[in-house]
Amino acid sequence: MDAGSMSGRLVDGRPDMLLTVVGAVKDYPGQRALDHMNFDLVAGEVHALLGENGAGKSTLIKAISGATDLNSGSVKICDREFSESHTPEEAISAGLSVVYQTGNLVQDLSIVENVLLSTGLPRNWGPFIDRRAARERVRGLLHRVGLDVSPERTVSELGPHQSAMVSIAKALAADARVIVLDEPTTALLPAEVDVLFAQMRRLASEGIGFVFVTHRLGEVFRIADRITVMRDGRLIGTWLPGELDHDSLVDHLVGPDKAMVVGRKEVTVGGPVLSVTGLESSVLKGIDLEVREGEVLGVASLPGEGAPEVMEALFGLTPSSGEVRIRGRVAKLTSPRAAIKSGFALVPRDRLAQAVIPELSVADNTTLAVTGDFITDPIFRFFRRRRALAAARSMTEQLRVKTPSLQTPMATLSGGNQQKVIIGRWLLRRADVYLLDSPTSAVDVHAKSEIYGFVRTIAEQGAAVVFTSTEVEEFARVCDRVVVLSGGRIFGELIGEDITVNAVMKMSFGRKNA
Amino acid sequence: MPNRAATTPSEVTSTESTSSRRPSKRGGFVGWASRFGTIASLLLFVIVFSVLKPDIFPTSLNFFNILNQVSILGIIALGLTLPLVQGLFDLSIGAMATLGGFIATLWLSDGTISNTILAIGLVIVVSLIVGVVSGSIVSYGGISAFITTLAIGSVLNGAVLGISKSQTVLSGIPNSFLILGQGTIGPVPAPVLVMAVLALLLWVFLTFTQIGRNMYAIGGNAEAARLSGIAVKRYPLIALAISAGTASLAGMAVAANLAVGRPQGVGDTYLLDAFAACFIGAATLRPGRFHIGGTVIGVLLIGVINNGLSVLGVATFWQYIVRGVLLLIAVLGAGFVLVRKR
Repeated sequence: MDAGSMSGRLVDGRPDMLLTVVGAVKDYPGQRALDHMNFDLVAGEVHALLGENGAGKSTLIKAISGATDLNSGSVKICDREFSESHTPEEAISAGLSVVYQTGNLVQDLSIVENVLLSTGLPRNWGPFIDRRAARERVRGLLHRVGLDVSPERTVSELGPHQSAMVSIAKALAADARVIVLDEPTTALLPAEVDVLFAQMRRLASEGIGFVFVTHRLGEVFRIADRITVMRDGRLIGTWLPGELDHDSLVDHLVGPDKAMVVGRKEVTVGGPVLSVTGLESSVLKGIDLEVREGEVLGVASLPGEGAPEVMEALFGLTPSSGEVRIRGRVAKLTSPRAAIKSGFALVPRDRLAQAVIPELSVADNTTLAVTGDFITDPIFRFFRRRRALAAARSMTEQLRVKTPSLQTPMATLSGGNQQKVIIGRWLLRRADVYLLDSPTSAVDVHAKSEIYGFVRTIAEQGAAVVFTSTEVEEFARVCDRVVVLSGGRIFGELIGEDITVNAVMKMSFGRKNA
Repeated sequence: MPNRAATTPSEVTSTESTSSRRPSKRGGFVGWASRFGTIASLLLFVIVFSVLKPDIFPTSLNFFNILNQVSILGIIALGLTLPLVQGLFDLSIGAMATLGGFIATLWLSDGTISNTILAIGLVIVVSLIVGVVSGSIVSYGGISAFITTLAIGSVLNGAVLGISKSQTVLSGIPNSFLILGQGTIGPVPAPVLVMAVLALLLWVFLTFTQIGRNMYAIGGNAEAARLSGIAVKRYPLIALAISAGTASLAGMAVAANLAVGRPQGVGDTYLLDAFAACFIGAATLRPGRFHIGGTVIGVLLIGVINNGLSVLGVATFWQYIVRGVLLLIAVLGAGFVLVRKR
């Protein structure tokens, strides 16, 4: 790329390089996360870093920030050149600061304490803090980021855009010249994004460089001076915004069609099982869905744009409005318990936090949602252990769960076998609608293919399946039909052979024609 | 460099420090000790005391003596096991015991209620209501059981002092009530019988009923239990009601045993020992899991140590020290995530 065309500031006619990554390679077991990646940042520019989930963006940021070592390659931050490894402390002192989407600030502390958290509060003498000096210092920094609030305010009282500005002030307090913003706009309203961008632009004019990570392509064209796209750990290219339009950017992000052979069987679908009309929540803006008997419906979107939110709303995890019917009967979605009674089952995304009871046995975990089927009477509720064990045994055998015994604590099973138990838990329930949220996350390859089979079997036995996943190729693998959401609305629909990784991804990014 | 991942530039918190909930599997001696250590040390103490004091310690008289001494503690600890299964700390059991013992003797002595059975039943109903109130505050008010029961305990202590005007009930307690603390059936003292029956009932409840099993599910992962359709908010009400009920029963047994209704200082002596017994119990057979059998072992262990050391003529302070050390060893051996976290 021609250095003269960059919008960054020039020192003696050369661009003032703040960050240079050359030939970065990072191998994880069985996978190359970074493959000779190159990246650079010039003083005064906003450089957008784009890529699908798993493209290697976060690994690159970790490598820059010193959170992870490289196998080979080098990172140069301002004037400090590092080879394969450096510590986070070295990165900070060289002038780097990373502002993460979440978990930046200590919510219960004041702005002053947060901003000066990494640099330390100024002291009077001994251990005593000079509160006034601290306040004045932070007031100055807040002024620099254009935030007009009292430095004494507690961070938890602030809105998300104010928190973002406080995070940036904190980076400035540490004399950062390179600020990495990891999806800073996800929690922001459009007007707040405008404020953030205006301040970024102003700070850039002072010589700060921003690496801006986002999924929202519209924002990229508004703020970025340069755009770098990563895919499969590799650099796909770096462009000026004028060289790209929305569609060509999506093409770069998604890449050429991934060949995938899916033995797609002709499915016979029956009558409608689930019908959703006008489903609304804080994210969803009126979703209509219909799923028929024997059908696997995929719901796809970028993170936070609707797909996981549909699952949460249908299972009563988040408040929602709209009409939901199962086999014609209105379903109450006030709580998970009510949703289950209406006929829903959920295999949640976070298996360990939301599904597994680690210290209970495999049998107890399998029968957890149907303990009511095994009680003697409604008063004493003695548990018919033998019947429950028999049910757990036949279910775990059917799903080919590998476990030493049914009494083995769930915690000792592998991820794949745990997930089979969770699926079995809901199969025992014989639900009408199965909500499967990333059912193959953190399971091994073999278990994955088995789980794809179970998804089909569930549908073939007459239930409706609503499926979503963080891995896009799974839609092509298991779904009969995919509804793609964007910004909480239905953007488009793909059926049968049209469901490809490219098509789903392009639609998620808001590109209509595949 | 494993510690490198914990900090990233200018960030103290890290998004990637997600810890797995997988408990460590142990084998060999440590694994054996964490399962059977408490039972082994119970046997060891019995043998040592029997060898040192063969004429006093290993006698049937002393055997029932030990059981009698621990029966009150046992009744309280057995009830406390239920909230602990769900990870709820009930600190109101001491005050509940004091209240139960006092109002039972008060009602019977001043003639409010003449029927002993009715009085005992009514006290238990009152305590169940208190437990349900505590449980409701925990479930629907979103306040931790630790704080809720601390506050409720204080309220109960105040209430009993107010009702009594700080006067101890010394006379007018009917003999039919005193049986609860002083009676015997054959060689078995009544409080021991109460403890045994209670242990059996609660064991059956926790092990063989849907509610008991759901309590373990909630204690293991409340969110997973909720997403499986268990009405998780009802269970603190049940558990805290039962622990309050057993505490008041224990308080009545104390009052019956001493034939006085004291308005303060009755239950507090048992509070910490009851927790100790439960935690020693949770280090037994199934490390990290509270269960009735374990609590019984914990109670017996405390009883044997106290009795044995005093039979040997060892100064009282050693009892506290030995108990404390034993509790620490037991909890360490069980790899107790629950207690270490708090």
